[in-house]
Amino acid sequence: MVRVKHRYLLVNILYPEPSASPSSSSTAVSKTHAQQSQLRIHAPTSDALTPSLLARMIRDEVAEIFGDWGIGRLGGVGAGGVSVKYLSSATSTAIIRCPRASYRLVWTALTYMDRVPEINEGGKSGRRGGQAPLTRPCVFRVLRVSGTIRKAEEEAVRRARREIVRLRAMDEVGVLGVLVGGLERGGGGDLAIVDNKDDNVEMDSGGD
Amino acid sequence: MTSSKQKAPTESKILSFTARNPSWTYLKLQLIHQPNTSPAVRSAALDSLTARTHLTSALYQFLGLFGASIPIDILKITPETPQLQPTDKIIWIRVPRQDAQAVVTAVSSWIGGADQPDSEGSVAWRVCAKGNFLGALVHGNGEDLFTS
Repeated sequence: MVRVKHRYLLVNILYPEPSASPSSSSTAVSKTHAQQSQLRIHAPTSDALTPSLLARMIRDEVAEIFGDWGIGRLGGVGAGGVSVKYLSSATSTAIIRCPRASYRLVWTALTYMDRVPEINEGGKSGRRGGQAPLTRPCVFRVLRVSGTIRKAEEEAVRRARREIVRLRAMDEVGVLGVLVGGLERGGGGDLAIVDNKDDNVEMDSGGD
Repeated sequence: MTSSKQKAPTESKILSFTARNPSWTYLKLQLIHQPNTSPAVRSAALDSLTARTHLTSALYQFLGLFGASIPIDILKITPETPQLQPTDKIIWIRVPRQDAQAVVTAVSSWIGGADQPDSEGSVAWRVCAKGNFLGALVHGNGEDLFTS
């Protein structure tokens, strides 16, 4: 028996533009600048972005870029070759399933997509009457392409954990302005993990 | 270009050249109307903007933006002036060889023109000839190319 092969794309929605995030000055008073920007980039997504809406956005984008041929490669209009298996609006993370032969088409479509529904107007009213206007600028970043949903899931958990560690580490060294710049460039999570390892080694040697 | 020499029994040498991978593919397309289209429309001239619009529409429908970005050179359009009676509307185009298959597929599967406000009935493209060398292509029935 032949199995239909799929690819699972782990996707992050980022908000690099300052205007894209709602003003949260009351909660962000105590945060450093680096933390603020880090949180702003990984801001939550509106609830109006449902899995079906995301799947339709991807299909529309593929149709725009690759035409009827691209839609056919995805498995036809009604077949639902692209389906959103997981969408967390709080962490702006999604797992998208697509046919293995055409995952690059989906990836291309995601690269060209730059709008999601606004977070304020994404209420229930917008969902019923029609689709909410796609006005919030964003960037879709494909983190991992995987053959099984399990690996994509593990990667999502790993990334989320590293993100938390990175923010915590920023909190601790917030007074040392020099280090914060380095942490923001992406070494934060790894640095923290290495620190933990060193602690263990020291404890072991102390026990001896 | 490759050349291969063959030993001839006589003193003279025979050189044969094979041209591979030419840059362009040439297509002869005919714009066909619905059968019930009025004779006035069918005998009207085919202008280059209409032809270009129909070609881009066909490519955009089949291949989206990637298709619309295929560069197409229109070499010749007939008839340039309105005719007294319905005539064949022929255009000759040139596309990069790598894109030829996409163009043929897109153009031959397209029916359009009916959704425009000043519609004159549906039209379609018929691929009459396709070849990598224009000289070989026009040898048969295309001797009117560049002469009128």
